[in-house]
Amino acid sequence: MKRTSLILLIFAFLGVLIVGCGSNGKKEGSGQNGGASAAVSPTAAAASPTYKVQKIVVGTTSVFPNVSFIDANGKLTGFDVELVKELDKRLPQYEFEIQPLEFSSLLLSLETKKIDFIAQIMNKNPEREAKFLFTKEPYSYFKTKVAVEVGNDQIHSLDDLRGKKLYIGSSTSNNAYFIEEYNKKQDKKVEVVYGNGGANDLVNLLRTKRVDATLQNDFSYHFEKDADGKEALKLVGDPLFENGVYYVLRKDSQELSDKLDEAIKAVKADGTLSKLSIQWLGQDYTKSLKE
Amino acid sequence: MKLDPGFIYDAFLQLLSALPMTLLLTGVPAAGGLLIGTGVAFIRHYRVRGLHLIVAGYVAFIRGTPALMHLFLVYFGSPVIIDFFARKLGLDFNSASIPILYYVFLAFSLTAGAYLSEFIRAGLLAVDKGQVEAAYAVGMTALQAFRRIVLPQALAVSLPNMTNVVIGLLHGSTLAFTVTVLEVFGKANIVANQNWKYFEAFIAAAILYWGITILLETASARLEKRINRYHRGGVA
Repeated sequence: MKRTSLILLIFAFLGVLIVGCGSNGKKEGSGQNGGASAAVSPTAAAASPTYKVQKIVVGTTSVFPNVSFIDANGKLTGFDVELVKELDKRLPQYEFEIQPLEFSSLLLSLETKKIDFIAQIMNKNPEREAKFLFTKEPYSYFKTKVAVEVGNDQIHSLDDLRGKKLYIGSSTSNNAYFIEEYNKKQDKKVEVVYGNGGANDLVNLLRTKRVDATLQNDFSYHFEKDADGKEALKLVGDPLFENGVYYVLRKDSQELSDKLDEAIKAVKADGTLSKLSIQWLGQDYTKSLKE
Repeated sequence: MKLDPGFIYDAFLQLLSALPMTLLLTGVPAAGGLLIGTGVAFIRHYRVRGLHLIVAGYVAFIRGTPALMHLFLVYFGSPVIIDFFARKLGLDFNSASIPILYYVFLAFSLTAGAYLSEFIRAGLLAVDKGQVEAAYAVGMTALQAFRRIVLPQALAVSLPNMTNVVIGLLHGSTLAFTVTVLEVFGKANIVANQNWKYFEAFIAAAILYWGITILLETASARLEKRINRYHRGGVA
């Protein structure tokens, strides 16, 4: 009897904690509005030479080859990292500090204000937009296709994958959503195998036929190498969907978001963005299919 | 930071679909570990010549390295060994036909076995040698002395620690997602992928894990009571 009441007490405590978190959030939110309006002053002062530099922490990961990764010299670099540095140069009122984190903790860190925006080729959807703020100006467009092992000539499209196994990483932006929607319309479904990539063995999974295919961006499949360092994947079929990529911010950071959009437009206009894209991703991915 | 309690509930319901896998990832290694652990404990307790040094090495290695590493060593290493012997013996067998889940079972059983062996050994050591001699003196055989005198007391000593190991296995099962075995924590990552409400999904997972842990603890407490009955006096 005593034991049960103790357990109940602990659960009640947890409940209070959760509710407390929720209401705290609201209070913090309103407080943050005040904070945001206060933050206007340094930018308003930006016109005059005596503005105050505001420090902004940028979250990214360190495991995405050529996008945000640790190079041979142990330095964090890549397309997203170098682009953020370029934008920093163009936004004198801000000082960006880049903080590499694990994917799922990026979003929690953003919510809990450990970082101020996320640069990790993020895609948006309406549910995410309800929770976070996205920049308006996409800084790249990527097309997603089915990727198979180089030697595979059985699979030519997504439809060929019905009844077969498709690997989806748990930290990829829109692939899981896309395939679940696709499966809803099929009688014979694609069998989805989820993983978090922790063992770094995607190529091995494909080669040993534990999975038959995966979904990859038009640039990222180049980075999946076999043991000899050769490219191990090839893309097949038509593009399944095209995604614009954006920075992700908290809802209270409209000011910062607008400044980022301005800076992205500027690097687009003078060709710096295309140059970075070609340098890191091998091609100019800064224009959409429509353009 | 704003919480969406409704999504904690939604996520919780979705996580239930991955619960059987988590329980399997706890139960099978617990049973496998108990077999290995018992074998190892006896070999070390009775100092079986030649073998006891090997198993001491096994225990030292496993306890000296993280569980995630055991998983990777088995996952990446055993296919190489299996394929090598399959080729040598001319068998038409490929390690890729073994489900990944089996590697996870093996790895976690090896991890649990080392820890369990130490707790079982502690139980065996806790029983006074004089009692065994007394058992012999009243005419019991070695087997009878073990079954009726040593085992009940050793089990009572080991049980709380064994429960700890099983709870550790439950929580350690989250490592299986690194090799694409979808359990509760992996599922929590996936249900949050769409709307990025990771914190809510993790809270739902925490409630689920805690719930199972409480059940395990309760079961263990009951068993402990039963197993400790001999303390009240009388002959078993």
